[in-house]
Amino acid sequence: MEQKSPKSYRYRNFTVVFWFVFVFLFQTAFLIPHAITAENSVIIIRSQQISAYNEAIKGFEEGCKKENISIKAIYDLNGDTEEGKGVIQNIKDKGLKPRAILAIGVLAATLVKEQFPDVPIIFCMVINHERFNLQGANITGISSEASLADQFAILKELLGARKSVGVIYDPAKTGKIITEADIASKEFEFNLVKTEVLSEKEVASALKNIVNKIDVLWMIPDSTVITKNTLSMISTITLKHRLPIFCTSDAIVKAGALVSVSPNYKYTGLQAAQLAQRLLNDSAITSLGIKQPDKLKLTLNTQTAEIIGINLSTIRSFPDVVLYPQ
Amino acid sequence: MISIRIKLILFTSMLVIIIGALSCLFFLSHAKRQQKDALKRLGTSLVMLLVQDNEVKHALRSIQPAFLDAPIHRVRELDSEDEIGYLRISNSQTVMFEEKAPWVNVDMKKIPFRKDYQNPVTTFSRTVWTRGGLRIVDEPSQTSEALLFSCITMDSGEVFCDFAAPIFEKQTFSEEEFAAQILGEEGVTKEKGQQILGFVQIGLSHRKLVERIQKIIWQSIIPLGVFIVFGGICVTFFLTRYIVSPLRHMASITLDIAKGDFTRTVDIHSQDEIGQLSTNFNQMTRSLRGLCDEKEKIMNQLREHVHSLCHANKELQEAQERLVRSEKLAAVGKLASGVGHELRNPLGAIRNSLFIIKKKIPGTGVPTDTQKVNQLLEIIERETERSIKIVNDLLGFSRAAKPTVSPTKIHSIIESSLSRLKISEKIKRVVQVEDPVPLVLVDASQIEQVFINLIQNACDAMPMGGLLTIRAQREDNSVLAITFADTGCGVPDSIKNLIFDPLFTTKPKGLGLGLAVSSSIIQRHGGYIDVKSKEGKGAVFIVKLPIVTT
Repeated sequence: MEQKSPKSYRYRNFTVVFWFVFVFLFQTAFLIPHAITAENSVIIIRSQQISAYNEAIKGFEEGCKKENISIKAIYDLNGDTEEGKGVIQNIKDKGLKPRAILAIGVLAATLVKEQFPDVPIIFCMVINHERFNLQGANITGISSEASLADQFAILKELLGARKSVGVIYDPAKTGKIITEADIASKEFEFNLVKTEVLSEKEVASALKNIVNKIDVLWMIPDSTVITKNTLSMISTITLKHRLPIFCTSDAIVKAGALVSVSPNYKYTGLQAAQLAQRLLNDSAITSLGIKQPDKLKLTLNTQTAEIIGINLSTIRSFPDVVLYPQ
Repeated sequence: MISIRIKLILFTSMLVIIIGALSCLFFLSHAKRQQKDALKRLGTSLVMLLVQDNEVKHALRSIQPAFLDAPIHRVRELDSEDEIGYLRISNSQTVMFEEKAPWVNVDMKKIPFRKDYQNPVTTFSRTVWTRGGLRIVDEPSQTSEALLFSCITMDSGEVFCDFAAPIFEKQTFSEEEFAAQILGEEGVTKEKGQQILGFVQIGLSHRKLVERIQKIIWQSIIPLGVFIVFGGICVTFFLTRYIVSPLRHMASITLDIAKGDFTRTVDIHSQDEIGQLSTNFNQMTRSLRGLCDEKEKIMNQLREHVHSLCHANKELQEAQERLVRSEKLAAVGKLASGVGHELRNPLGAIRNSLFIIKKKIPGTGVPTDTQKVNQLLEIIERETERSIKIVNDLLGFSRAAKPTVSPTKIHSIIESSLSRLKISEKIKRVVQVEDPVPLVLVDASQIEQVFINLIQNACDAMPMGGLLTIRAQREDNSVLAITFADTGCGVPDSIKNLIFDPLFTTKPKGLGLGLAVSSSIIQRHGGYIDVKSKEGKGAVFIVKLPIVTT
């Protein structure tokens, strides 16, 4: 019989160990994504870099810490459709399979809905979300406007009942809101004076037609009515006629409107985190529907109130009131 | 002369025609502008529809003309009036789709082909009112999808409005811009370089535009012009009726007033200037009538004064004549009295001497053959007697007695005078005394002598017979006129002023003292005697005597 050398034994052992280690590492690497998906991980897709969106993300991050949800990545679409499509394609190419996606803004919400039909999606900060058909088995959302009932309740507190409320709208964009407002206004004993416009150019004449017939102008988020050009014109005409403006954007209050009811953006983020937690905890639930924002803020323009001659003392006692100028 | 009515109609008609023409021109230009704007809007919307269509972009991106069918079909459906003359969709290399309407007779090669796009900023024109009038202002377009617009006139004369727009590869997401604005941030979305995929080019024909404008002209503008003109004519007629008719009426009344009919008045009671004019006119007419009446009154007074002056002048002349005559008579009377007185005594001595001679001749024995002496003596005696009579008459004339007047009936004096005269049967007598005749203050014997003289003269003037008319009638309250009219030879004008002079006679044996004595008697009674006569047509002697006033 031939005798084996110790050197060859050492080599053979090393090879066996190497293969074992290699296979282990390979399997580990292969199982990492599955391991990741097994966690409560979400990604955030943001339409563009604006402070309101960032505030919502901040709130979401705080909520995720509380709910033990990890945010894997924040993607920015830079407000560009093509770029957004590219970003989402990259996400898909990487093979990332998040447990849930938070889409902030209309661009992100519409693209994510289209590209991820089997991932639970939570959208927020979508102005007039009803326009974009953001409904589906995997869609949960938080409205970026206070409900009509909340808006009219504040309006009634501000002006009293039996008042004429004027509204200018483009039926193609906000017709649905006006249909619902028609019903809600009867409950609150308001006379809703509606004026249709089809283009930005018609807004001035439409406002001049109704300015003497109404007690308050209700501005809804309609991109035909609210533009850079019309906003200053509306503010000038209404101040001239001492007509208060009630709206859903604090930016319009800064432009001269009297009062706005809008969600607290940070709290919207927190609310989105809570919804994400519920979706992640029960894999059977993929959609929780569209929710109203839990926390609203009132923004009051004290200068406008002084010019118009409206007493805001009752409204100032409300919680979460922001006065402008501070 | 052009009447005010014609002037008014001409002026107003011209004004109405000018206004009508200007209105029609204004509406025509307005309609043209509107139709052109509508055509531009249609072209813009059709081009934009294709530019923004994703299927068109996809077709251009993948160079698949088949994908263009659906969007082009949609565009054709919107072209309800068949205005699209041609449609062309091209990329930078080739024309992917090109089509012209069947009614367009144009070679598509002649239509300029758009394949480059340098400046995406275009300008839109708008009109603004300024102090200098209407001004066209060009403003830069705010859209990234800039439209290229031009008018193309083909060789055939057909005009096309050519609309072209680039098709961009990608667009900004405006909803995100809106969200940023609502959420309080602006200008976050930045425009990036956009790749042009191709061009859409649509040509809209002017054919339908012209048809529509012609339709507007015939259906709106011409009826409007006709309506304005007819309306203006109606207004003109109303105006002329309302303004000119009263004026014409006033003019006719003015003519009547000019003819002297001051009773005419203008019966217009409107509360305007015409009414005021008619009121003033009537007032003026009344004033004029008053002035005319006053003038007539003054004229009548003047006539009366002239008449009385003439009468006074005549009376003065007559008085003067009578005065001269009476002076003459007085002078003649004095002369006659002196002469008569001086001749009376010698004549008396001659007569006495002649009486003595006649008595003494037979006593003296003067032979009878001295018959001739007797005849001569007879002649001397007769002529002496005659001379004595003349002298006596002259003395009687010169020593006319002052009348002893008493109220007397003139009728009795006339009858007495007629009874004392022997009037030929050939002469017919007519006595007409008014009843009751007033009494006159006269010396009956002297007046009777006058009447006898006058009747005798009348009878002497009608030797062959005739008609003697004696008429007594009151001339006025103080004078009674007695006329003695005959149908005799009359008094020649040449001697009319001499007949009352003493010793003037036309009779062969007259002394010429009858009428002179009669005139002097009547004058002494405070009356006067006058004659009216034409030679060969008789004479009328008028005696005027004072009436007894109670």
